Amino acid sequence: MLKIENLQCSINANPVLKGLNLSVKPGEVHAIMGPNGSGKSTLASVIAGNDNYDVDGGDINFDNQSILEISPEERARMGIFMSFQYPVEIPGVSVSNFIKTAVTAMRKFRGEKPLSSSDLLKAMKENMDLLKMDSGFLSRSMNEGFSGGEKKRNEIFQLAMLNPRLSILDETDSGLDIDALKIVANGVNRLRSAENSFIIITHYQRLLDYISPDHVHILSDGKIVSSGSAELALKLEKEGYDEITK
Amino acid sequence: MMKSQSSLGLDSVENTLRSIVRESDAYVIIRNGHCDFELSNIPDGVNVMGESKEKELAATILANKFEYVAKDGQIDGLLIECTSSIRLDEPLYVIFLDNSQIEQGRIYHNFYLLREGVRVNIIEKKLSDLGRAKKQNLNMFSSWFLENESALTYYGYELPNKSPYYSINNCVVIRQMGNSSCSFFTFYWEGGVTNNELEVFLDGEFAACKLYSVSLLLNSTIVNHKIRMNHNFPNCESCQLYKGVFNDNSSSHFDSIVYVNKHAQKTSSTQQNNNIILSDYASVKSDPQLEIFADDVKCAHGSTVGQVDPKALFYLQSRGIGKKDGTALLLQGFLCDVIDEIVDLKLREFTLNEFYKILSINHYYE
Repeated sequence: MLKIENLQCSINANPVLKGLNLSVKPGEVHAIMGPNGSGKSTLASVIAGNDNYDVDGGDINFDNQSILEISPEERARMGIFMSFQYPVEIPGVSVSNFIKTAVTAMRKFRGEKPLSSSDLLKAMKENMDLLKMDSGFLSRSMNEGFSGGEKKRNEIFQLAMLNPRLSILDETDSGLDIDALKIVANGVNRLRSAENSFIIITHYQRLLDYISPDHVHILSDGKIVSSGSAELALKLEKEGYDEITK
Repeated sequence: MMKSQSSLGLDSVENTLRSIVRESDAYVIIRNGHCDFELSNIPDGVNVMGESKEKELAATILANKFEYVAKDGQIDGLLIECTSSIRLDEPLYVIFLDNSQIEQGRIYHNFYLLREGVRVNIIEKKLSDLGRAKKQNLNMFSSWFLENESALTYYGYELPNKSPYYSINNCVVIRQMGNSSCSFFTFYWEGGVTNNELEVFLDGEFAACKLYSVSLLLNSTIVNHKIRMNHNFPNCESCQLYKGVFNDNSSSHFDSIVYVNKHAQKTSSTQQNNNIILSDYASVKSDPQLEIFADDVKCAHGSTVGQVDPKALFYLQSRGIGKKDGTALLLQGFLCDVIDEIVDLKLREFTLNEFYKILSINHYYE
């Protein structure tokens, strides 16, 4: 599904990713861990199509097609979703209006008619229940004045509404208390399927207690230095990055 | 839902009129400066004077209430008086219809008088069936007198006018007495040059005046605002919220003064001008000013000129929303604090629809 080959990226001429390789098959959950500044968020942003980063070499293939020249909105319509580490506040645009516009754009791309208001509301209610969000949420301005936990929940809510094939969770666990973490993890687990894949970017092993990954990769200085099963994350938690990236 | 015209042919003017006639029980139609009593449907409690028989009465009232009107009994405009018996659940439409062939220097003068305790919503629309090549220069003077305890909500729509030769000077004076309140909305789309001069006199305690305005400008449209808000009495409140979105070579100058007289203690005033520029050739000049001579007042002012937030746009794109739709959504969010103040739901929907039309027919991105 996703194949990244020798990816090299920089921001303002500072190299961040220095030859990264990663392959994700349908249904797989990959965790990417690494110290601050190792390039985890850059990787997420580049897959989503953020043009603040320059791709200097290598390739990203999705469904056997290079997506480097494809716009962020088209990538989203192909089924790529990034949960933002710092979701943007959009004053004056309600959550429901945002969701409606996004869902309609996705359906239009697939040649489907817009959902009726009642069907859309029903879908929103179901997913809000799943994430234990109250209904007042929908009429609030997008992320404006949201607590850290609410913002992250709102990201997973969008994920649930858009049902992407590849979801990238960029430090979705940071800033969450343990109850919120469980709710978010539970939401993600419900959305797992044989077709849908996840890349979970995190500092800590904590989230992986609730979402068990098929593969764990350790990113250091712009490269994946170690890959393994879920045990790798436990080992990392015990020994720290220094031991493993040595 | 009201339909607005996209072109300015005679048909579209008629359609707009017809939809207003359908929507409302109360409308005053002013054709080339004169009230058309046959077309109008003037409700009880509203007196339109200035034509023949009431001329003398109108002159007396005008001389009494509007100090600067010449006291020789001659008036060159209409007096629209809302008396205390008024009970209007629906807004009163005032439609200016212009199909005269005069190219230069047309002057309208309208006096609005709200008697004590009257509450009224007034919607002004200007329609013109002139072809787009015609030069047209309008001078509109409106004087508003709000007696004690009266309340006005005013919506002024400059309907889309594609003619670059269209120029209009709006001169508005609002005088408010004690405990009166005024919400004054103006909307500007595209076409020609509009110069607004607006002066408010808060001449009684606890008077409140709120000015809201949205400009969505394209092509070489110019809309300038020169405002003076005079706080002459204590305990008055004023608010200015002017928002603009500028594309192509459009431009605007916001030049506004809040003046607080030394007797006007406990004044509370805000003055805000926020602008988004979408093109390298559009320009905005913003001068919010305060002149304060009292020492116990609360006055805030601020202005911003910026562009669509690229981070917010990327966020929308990453959810499958294209640049064009995403920009329109962000602009709608930018304008919503004015829209949310429109209490009349039908009118709010109408205004939003006008926004959508303008936002969706144009490429608000590079």
